[in-house]
Amino acid sequence: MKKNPARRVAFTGMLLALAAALSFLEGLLPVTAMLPPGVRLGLSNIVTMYALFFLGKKEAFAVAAGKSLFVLLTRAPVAALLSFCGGMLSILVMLAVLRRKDASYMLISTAGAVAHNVGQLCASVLVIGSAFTFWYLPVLVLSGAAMGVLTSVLLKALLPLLRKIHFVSQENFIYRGGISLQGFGKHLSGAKVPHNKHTSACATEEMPVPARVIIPMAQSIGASCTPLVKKGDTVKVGQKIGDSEAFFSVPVHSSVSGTVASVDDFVTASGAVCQAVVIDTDGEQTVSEEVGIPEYGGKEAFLREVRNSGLVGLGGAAFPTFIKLNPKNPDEVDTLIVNAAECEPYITSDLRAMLEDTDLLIAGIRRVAEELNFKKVIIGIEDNKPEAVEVLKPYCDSQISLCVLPSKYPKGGEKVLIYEATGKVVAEGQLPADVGVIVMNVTSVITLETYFETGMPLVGKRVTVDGGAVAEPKNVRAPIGTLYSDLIAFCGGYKEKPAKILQGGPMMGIAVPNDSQPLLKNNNAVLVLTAKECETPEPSPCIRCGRCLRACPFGLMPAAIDKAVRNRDVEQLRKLKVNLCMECGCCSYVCPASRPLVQQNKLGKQILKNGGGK
Amino acid sequence: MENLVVTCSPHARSGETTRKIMMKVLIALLPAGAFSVYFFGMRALYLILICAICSPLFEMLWCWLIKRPDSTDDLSAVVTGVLLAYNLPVSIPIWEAVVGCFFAIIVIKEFFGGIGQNFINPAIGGRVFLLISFATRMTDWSVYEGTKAADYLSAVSSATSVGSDAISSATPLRSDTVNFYDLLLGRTGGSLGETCALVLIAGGILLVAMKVISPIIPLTYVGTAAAVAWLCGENPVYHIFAGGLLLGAIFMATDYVTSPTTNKGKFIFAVGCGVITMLIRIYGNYPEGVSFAILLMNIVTPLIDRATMTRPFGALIPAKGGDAK
Repeated sequence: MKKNPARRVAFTGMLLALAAALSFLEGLLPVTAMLPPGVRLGLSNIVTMYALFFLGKKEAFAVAAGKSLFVLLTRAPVAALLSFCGGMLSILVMLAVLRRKDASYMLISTAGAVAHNVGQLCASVLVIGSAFTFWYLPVLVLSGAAMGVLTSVLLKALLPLLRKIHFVSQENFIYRGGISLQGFGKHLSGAKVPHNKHTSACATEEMPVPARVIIPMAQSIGASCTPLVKKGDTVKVGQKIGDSEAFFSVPVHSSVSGTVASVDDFVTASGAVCQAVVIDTDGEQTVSEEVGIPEYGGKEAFLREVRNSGLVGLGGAAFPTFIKLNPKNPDEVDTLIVNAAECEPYITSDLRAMLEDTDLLIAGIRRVAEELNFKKVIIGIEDNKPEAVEVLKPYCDSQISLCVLPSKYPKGGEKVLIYEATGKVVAEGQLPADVGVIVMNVTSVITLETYFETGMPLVGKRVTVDGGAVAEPKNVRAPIGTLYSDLIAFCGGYKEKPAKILQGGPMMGIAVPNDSQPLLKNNNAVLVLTAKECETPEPSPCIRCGRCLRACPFGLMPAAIDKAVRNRDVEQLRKLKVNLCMECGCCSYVCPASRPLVQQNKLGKQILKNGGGK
Repeated sequence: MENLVVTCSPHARSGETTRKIMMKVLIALLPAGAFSVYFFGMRALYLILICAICSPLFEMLWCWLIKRPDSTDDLSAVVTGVLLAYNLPVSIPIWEAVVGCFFAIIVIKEFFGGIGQNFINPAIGGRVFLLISFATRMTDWSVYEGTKAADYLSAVSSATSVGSDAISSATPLRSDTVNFYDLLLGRTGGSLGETCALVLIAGGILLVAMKVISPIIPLTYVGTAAAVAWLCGENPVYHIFAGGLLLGAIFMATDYVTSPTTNKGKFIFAVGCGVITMLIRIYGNYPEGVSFAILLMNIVTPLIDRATMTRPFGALIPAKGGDAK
């Protein structure tokens, strides 16, 4: 900031004005009249000190000289001479003291103030012409010391504030350590997004097997799988068709029986390139011989079976479940939070799962809690699902409890849910396991239990198909890999031409370019939206209304991040903690200027990563 | 199905727009405007309408000049015009009001980059500019014969500067003989929008109810001013209701662009405004300190913003020596 010479000059000028104003002010204070002659409070020394510490020698001299000029213009030449000599000697002495590495602010300031008074005294001796004046020295030294202490205390007190408004460089300041928690209260912020849960009452319908499915090899965070089948192979339901040697990977299974039509390159909706197995189904749904109820003993075997089931985080994150259930500190993890919030509008697949597969849910919770030694299980659910609350209440006991949350998006976000359910803060860089918690989505638990009871891995999904452009919105159970076009055809087809088809909900879902997308493991909804439903006005300039920072659950400042991204300011992005953004969409949702804030946040994260940030 | 729209999430918006917010502000300003026409007569209406029309015209002209798309349909220029009109005495020559609008829109707002980029509130900038350029006219509180104002206000001095059909009156800040109910119901002299406390407070409540502004700034500003007045031995109630304090605290200090974004920042801003207003009123040469106070605090707002940045949830603050690069 200070590299620009014009800025340095302007800033020095500002400091000079401040020093002059302070010196004028101390003349007005009633205290000055009481002090012995020649003694000044030395308030303007704060400015000289600041200039010396944070700008440089030249600027400090300039401020002192300029102040003397001001005194010349407003008082008398004699006074100006005194001020000049005092100022120069003061800076020279402070420079000498600054050479010592361990000099404290107080030492430097006192030395400077004493030197200032001595300098003034010497000048006055020259003017008066009598050495007798030197008898005054002890008084001036004492008062200088006192004033020096006072000014150093003032400067030290001002430093944190000066640091915050960027007038102090990094090296001169020491932060308090710790995690910021202040001001969050019982509930985190969010946006009041309309629920649109039109399909809550729609019982899940099983869809007839489509003619063709496309099963991509990349359906989880981590490495994508290598196909284990090739063109022409016969496959059966539950047969493993993709796996990887990498640790961070989860196998992929066939959801249908039929023949492999091809193994092609495939581009997912989020832009990743992988292989995909295209299967022409025979409609029989013959179950593979590989499928059998797993037998296991002990935690390690349990986790191996979890991997074999192909389970990933079905709330949408697609994190390999077997890795999540295996934290580095298993003895400290004692709470399981079951995420039944389903905060996105339109989606009701988790709700239907809770109502229709309640037994599987409870059995799954008990199994996971036993295998991994969870003392407490909290089911976090939003209050817009009263029927599910009623169904789950009877199962609450000493271990399982229900936490009903206000339906304000995004209560289903992992860190948000943990805070609302337990009050614990997952800090920057931490995992939920670091605060003793593991979060699993409701459908993930049900799918896990289905595998352990029947041996069938993750091959089918309950998905909500909704939106104004689809004829019969409903909840559908479909094989993984079913194309959207088949799903929509099962739901009565298109009522009108949609503007967008979304993979997921309207707040965090991905807009897909066509309806030939396959249904993925972590896909909970296919939304077919009319133009009116996803209307987004043209962006206009930011009016600094602050709605975005009030809506952000994590207390970030999206408007400031937007500005920093436009300026490519890596330092500012680091201070704004853009890496904490979970891209929930609350900020863009509430912005009156319709600014693409989530997009800017995503860019900001990239800039921060590439700019050498931590 | 091909050719679908592909954008970044989220795919829904709350429906709030800048234009809607400005409309709500205009609605909240309506009671004060209606009262000013009732009290000061038709000239008040002309002034308000002319300012409200000239301001977007100047903005349109500017956009045409710099070959950018017309930005006036967010109605922010209209709000600036109306607010500026509310700060003017009824007897000000129309051309001076237009010059004020020009300065507010072109210099304060458009020179710096248009909406969102102005460094001070354009209406305040316009008012201060007029105050300094046309000091006599801006402090000439003459009212017109035949208007309600003339009925309520007795001539304090017969020396007038505007026409022969004007009756001079003093702004209540210069006179000590006004009672509380007169101030509340607007039976006093002053600029168009600042006289009737009741309609201004009603507008303020409307703004808060419509979730346009947070009550922090108006309440803190007025509270601080009252506290300082009391500490300095003046009548706090009088200072709240007389002059432009309510107009400034409710409508001008709360401008989004020129006030801090966080609640803490808003509080600091309002305290600063209150203190400076009262210092100018009590110890300064000007009877009215509101414009300068808000102007000075507007300038300091970026610093307040930097000092009151939010602390993100779970953010780690480095323990020693700042960040290592």
